[in-house]
Amino acid sequence: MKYLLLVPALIFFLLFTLWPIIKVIEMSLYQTNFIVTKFIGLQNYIDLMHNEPFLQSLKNSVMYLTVMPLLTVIVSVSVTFLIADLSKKWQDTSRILVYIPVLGGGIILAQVWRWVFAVNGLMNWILSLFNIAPVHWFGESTLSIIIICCIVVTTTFGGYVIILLASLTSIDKSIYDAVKMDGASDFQIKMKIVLPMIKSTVALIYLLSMIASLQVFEYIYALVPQQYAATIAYNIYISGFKNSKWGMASAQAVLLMIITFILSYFQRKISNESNQ
Amino acid sequence: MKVINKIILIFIFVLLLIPIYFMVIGSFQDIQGIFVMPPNLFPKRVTLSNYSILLKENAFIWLINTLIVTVATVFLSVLVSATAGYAFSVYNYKHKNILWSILLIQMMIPKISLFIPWFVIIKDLKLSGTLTATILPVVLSPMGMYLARNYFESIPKSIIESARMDGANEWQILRMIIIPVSKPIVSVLGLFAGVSILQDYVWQMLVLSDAKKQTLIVGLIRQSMNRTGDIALLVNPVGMSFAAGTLLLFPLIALFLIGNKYFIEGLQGAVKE
Repeated sequence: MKYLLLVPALIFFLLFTLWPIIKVIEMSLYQTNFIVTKFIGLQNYIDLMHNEPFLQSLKNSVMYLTVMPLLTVIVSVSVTFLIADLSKKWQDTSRILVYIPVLGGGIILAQVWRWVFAVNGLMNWILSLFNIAPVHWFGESTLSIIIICCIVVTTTFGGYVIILLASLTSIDKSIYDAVKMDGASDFQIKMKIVLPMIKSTVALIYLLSMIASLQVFEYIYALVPQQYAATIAYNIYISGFKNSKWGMASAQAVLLMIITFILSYFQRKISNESNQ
Repeated sequence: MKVINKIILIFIFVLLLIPIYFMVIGSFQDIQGIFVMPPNLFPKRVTLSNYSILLKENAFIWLINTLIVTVATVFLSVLVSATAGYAFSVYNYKHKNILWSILLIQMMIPKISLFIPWFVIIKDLKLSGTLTATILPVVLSPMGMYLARNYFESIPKSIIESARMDGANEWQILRMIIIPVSKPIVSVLGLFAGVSILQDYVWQMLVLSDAKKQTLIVGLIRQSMNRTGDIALLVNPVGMSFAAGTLLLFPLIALFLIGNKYFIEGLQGAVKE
């Protein structure tokens, strides 16, 4: 029984996690289109160092990595603070409303964002009310990436708000009253007392959002299928599934795994140290 | 102070829900109605043509396929997460902690990195293009196992111990004590698995190429981008993509509203240390 219960998880783990990891590392050492396969050692990795689309996606990923996690943390913490003081009824309704966009995250709501940011779409109409000329929102790198980050945040922060609200309820309310007596303002209490107490949850959200920012795919695919907005994730799709350079795509997948590991390692280390 | 909070919050909710609202409204309008500015808050001329073109072919098969995939994924995923979570909460293994972290390693691996080897493995298993191929790789859920273990650890060990003393075997303990109190965690795991498979566009899009073997999310999105044949003449691409989005979003919202209590419990369980 003791071991029998582990069998289902182990089967799926071995077949669809461990084996794929080994397989993708192996594939990254080959040049293959599934018809002709040739061992080329580390050549794929060496080629990537001069590969324009890959370097561009690396540069873009840095941008996603800078904007998205920070924006996610700011938005989810602020909205949590707005909700936290309200009555239970408001809190319950708010939890539902912030989560609805999360349900449509990815390809589903991308359908409508395409219209919002179309040249003759909603955003440009709003600008026209202020006599601002229409903007080609997805015409260049920086603006596209910032918009995609904002869209991703609207469809992910709801889950984080629910997690943050849960970690707030574990704080002893008497601390608030004590500090309030000392004449601290509401804002001061939140920044100086409450925020440090939920620091580990905030760090977790930052980490999750970091990993997510390297994997942005659907919005690029549906809204800006361009090299200048591509993440490594999107570039893997193009190299492999579109251009059949499977070895090259595998090498990028391996690099993405390594980058994710290193980032999560350092992020954890930093947040552990600051907790002491 | 609270009034200001409420006003800001309502403003945020309106901003969040505006796109969804326009998507639904737009799905019932023709192309002129969608791009008229200021945007119509209510459709001026209601048309169902976006839906009728979208659902013209195969829609029923897609629905059936989606049901099969969802039910199978939910069943397998709940089974895998619950058994692993339970095993790790009651039994001791050699190197238990290391084994546990390895099992959860997928949390730290970008899923897209696994798509290529998954694709190859699916091919080796002769499952290319089948519904099974969309299910098997996504069954293992680190988040699910984590939540299940947390849940089962909250069941007092003394109850299990005393049942053991009374001579109950492991199977009886599972059946008489654990399964009866497992409904909340099973609901949480099931809902999370259900929502994630219904949202899972990328992997399904990569695997399912045959129009007759697609799920709703792949079929509807592909059909809304279809510009071939007689469709091209009467096409309203934006309206069709709105209709696709609407058809895909509302089952998810319904599922969430039905299981809202469990959902929020599950997300809250994710922070429990």
